[in-house]
Amino acid sequence: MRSLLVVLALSAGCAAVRTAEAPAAPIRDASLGLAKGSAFEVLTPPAVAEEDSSPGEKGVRPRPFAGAAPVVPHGIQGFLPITPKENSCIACHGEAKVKKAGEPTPIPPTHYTDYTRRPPVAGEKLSGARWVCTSCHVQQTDARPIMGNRFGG
Amino acid sequence: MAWQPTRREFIQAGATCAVVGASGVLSPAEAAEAERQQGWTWDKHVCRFCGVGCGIQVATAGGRVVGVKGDPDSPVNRGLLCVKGMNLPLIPYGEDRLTKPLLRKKDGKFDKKGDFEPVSWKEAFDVMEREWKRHVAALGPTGVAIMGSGQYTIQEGYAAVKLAKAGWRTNNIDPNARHCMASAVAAFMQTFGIDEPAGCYDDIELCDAVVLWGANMAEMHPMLWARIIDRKLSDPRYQVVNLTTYSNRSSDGADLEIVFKPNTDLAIWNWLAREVIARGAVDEAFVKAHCVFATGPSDIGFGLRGDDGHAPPAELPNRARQRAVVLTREEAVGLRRKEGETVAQASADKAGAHWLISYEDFRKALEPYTLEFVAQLAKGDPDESLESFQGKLRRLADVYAARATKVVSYWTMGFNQHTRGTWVNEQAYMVHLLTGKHARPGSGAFSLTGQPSACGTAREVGTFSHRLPADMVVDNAEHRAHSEHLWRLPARTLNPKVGSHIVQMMRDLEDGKIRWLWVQVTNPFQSTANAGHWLTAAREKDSFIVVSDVYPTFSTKVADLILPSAIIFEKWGAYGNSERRTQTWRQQVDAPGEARTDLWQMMEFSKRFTLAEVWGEKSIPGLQAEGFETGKLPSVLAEAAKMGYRPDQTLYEVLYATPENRKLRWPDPVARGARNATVQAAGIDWFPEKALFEEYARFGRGHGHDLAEFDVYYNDDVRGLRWPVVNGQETRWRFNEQHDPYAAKGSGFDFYGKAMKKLPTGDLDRVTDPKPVGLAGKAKIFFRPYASPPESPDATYDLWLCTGRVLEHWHSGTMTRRVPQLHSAVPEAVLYLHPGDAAARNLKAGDLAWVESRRGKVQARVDLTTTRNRMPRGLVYVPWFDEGVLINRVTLDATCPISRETDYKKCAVKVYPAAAVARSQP
Repeated sequence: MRSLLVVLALSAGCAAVRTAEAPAAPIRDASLGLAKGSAFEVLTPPAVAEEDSSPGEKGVRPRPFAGAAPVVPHGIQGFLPITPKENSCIACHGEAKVKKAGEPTPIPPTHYTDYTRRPPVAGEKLSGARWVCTSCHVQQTDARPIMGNRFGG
Repeated sequence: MAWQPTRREFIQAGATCAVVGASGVLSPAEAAEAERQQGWTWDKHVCRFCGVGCGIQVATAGGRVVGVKGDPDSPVNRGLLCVKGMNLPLIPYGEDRLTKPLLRKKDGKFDKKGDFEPVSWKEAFDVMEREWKRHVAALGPTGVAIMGSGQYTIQEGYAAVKLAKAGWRTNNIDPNARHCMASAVAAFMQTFGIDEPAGCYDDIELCDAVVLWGANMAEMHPMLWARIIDRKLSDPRYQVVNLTTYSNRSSDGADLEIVFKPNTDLAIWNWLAREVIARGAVDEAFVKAHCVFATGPSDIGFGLRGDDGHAPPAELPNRARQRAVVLTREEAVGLRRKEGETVAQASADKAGAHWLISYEDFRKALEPYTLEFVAQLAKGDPDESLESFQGKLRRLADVYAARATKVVSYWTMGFNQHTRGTWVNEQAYMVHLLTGKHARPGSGAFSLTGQPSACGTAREVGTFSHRLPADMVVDNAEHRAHSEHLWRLPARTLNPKVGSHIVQMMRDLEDGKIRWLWVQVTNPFQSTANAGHWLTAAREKDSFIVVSDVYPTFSTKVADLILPSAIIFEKWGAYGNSERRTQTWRQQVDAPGEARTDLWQMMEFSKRFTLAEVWGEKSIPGLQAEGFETGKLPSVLAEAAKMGYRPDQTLYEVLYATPENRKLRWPDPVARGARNATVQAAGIDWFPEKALFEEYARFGRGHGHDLAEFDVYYNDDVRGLRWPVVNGQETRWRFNEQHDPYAAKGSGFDFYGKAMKKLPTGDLDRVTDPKPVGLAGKAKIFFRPYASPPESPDATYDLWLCTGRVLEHWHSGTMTRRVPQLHSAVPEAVLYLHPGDAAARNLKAGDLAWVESRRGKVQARVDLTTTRNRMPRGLVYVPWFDEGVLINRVTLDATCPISRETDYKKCAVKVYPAAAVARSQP
């Protein structure tokens, strides 16, 4: 696996250097991809646990870039489903204020803006298009990343 | 509305379009971030994922993608993005990006049994060329194949079609869109004589009701769902109906949920049509002026292999069913025949044949589909009462039958991935046409696509084994001649014999009929049903499998050569979404290492073939066509010489770097300084993506598929355009005289598609008068009977298995699973089942279970949560994104016999605890 990463993950400049060196160790097909095993093996998926903390119990998780939709840092089983008549998320997140540590992340102004109008019109009602929070804001589990990601790196 | 909180103190001038900040006032950290963003460059772009086709603004800085936001100016998504789109900036940066070609080698040379070693592009192409020529020498051009994609850019798909069909003279090119959209295509062609929807997304806001049929839009088309929910919240009378085989997140937003038994959508539609007639809700003027009635054979099999080759004993019953079917009671009723009758599937090879019938016969055919019969057959939740289910069906009929109710029916894979997928698509048109609710603002039957360019590339460009660009087909002499003219090919260069569709390619690989395969922008060894066969075939046969991709995928495990590709932000391109909207983008950043654009790969590889090698006489087993010797393509070299071609010219010069294409120079002002990886790697001074776009557009302009000029799509005020684009105007409702310039003046509606518009006449069972009747301008209302699926639960395999997607992952997960947030949200494919079914099998939440069919088995963990899918007793669901839970080892490779699209939505499985654990994934 390590040899694979070495060979595959090199940036342009390093790759040229690497080719000039001794040939890299051969890469077994079983080591390719996200499931480690040959194409013929039936693997056992690991046990994972959904985040089940209460709101506020854990801090917000970092976003990969400014403007990225934040993930939900707490369990949401008890708050779903979101239906046209019921949205438990806005009970806490709908309150307008500047966020302080430990307080729910407030829904930002973009979500109160009607982009169907040209130019967009800022309003006082949460945009209906933003009603289903889980389309963009997802709960997490305790699963470790299956592969590293060098975004921002 | 009362429950929506107000935020008047929150909204501040200037803050409304800020992407930063969780609050209206910037914290110091946010202010610092805002300052950092000053160095970001934003450009309009298109989402890489589903068929919705959301517009994005992508930010780059320092040669890297650094951010994204929903494009507020995009009429598709209006500033929103789902969680996948939101994570687009991370998809190029998984640690294991492929940066060098990898070839299986032993002792310094290619060896099928070897391990992978990095090689140069030259060595990669050398071996690829040698193997191509070895296998074509033995088998002819049909011994090689390309598996393409609904995620190809328009230019890539066009280059691939041209390489395969005009260059190599094989029609063995077929996209993964075969698995996704083929049934929709077949139904469009049969019903309207032309592909793709009449309406557009504007219908969401214009209609009174939406009905989802086998389309879990809340997860699979989330930004269209956002528009539906927006409408729903602003107008309580707006109705949302969800027809599905299990409760899902779309049910959460629906006024009416109807859970039906797999395959019985066929019967429900027939009841609806019967009811529409019974209630006097037929739009008689519309039907009389614009429609005819038709039907076709019902003994068409299930697209399975009928022979016993390569079949373990467990698969033999299904193979037998491909040859003959014993009618169930329900089928017998619907077909006016006797239960238990054995029906040879004699029309399997001509499943698409059809003929005109009278309105009286049409009514007669619907007669058995009473509410009582259909409700009994179709009720999908054993715990629901028959009365309740009947009541729901009546409410559904109210939606369609009420004259004033504007209704849109949406469907995706529930219809398309169906052994009667073409039929059930046609049935949707049946009811919409009967009621005159089609091709009108706010009313229509609308097929949603799954992939970002299933429409734009796979269908419009025509990367299917039977197609040429702009809806033309290879087995039509006029279409071939027109294509040969536009491509400047000698007459009879194009092969008239339809090639192997993507499922058939796998079977051909197993049979040794295809021995060289190039996989582009897709992951077929994960995505093809009954995977065990194809994995063995890939590794055990004398074959050469090339996989081009950005990451090591499951398919690369069985490849012989892996080629590193550029990802969407690293190349120029264009996609076409579900509503005929063509959208283009500029290259944003460079690809890592030696990764190259797929277009460059094809152009570069085409240099390996001279005309003398590919345009001589070729053997094509089974070819029979007027003007051709049986089994042969003629040499066209003499004709080519007359046209000024030399035998030593390469396909690169003849197909791509043509004198005309080279006139479109690089650099081009439209780039505004953006780079072009194809140009750089090829060392050329022309603009291939623009040249190929313009060359392709010539097929459609003046033929109802008009694209605007390449540069127009790059204008700052353009967010894609819906074709046909005539005189600079896009078309929102095709076939409608008021909106579509191609609809004849004075017609009102003009279903002007030309394919399959001359039909014989018959009764419900057969043709009685073969004399062709012309149907110019008409749409067909098909009668299609109920048919049982090829495999249903029995005493041993006692559960239905349905497969599909989840919101958080795209297709086989190769991009989204490398995004930490998305992976953490849905780290693996789980087994959704009813708590009662779980308890009966001694399974608890989180337990490891085997899911086993006659074809294979996988392990998955039991999920009994209720926040995503709620299964009725008797049906289980496993998503297919996870190569570690490779559910396609279990699924059945039955297809719609007309469209050849696989039914991934139903097969029979058993589920039991996995006591002994083999070994864990790291």
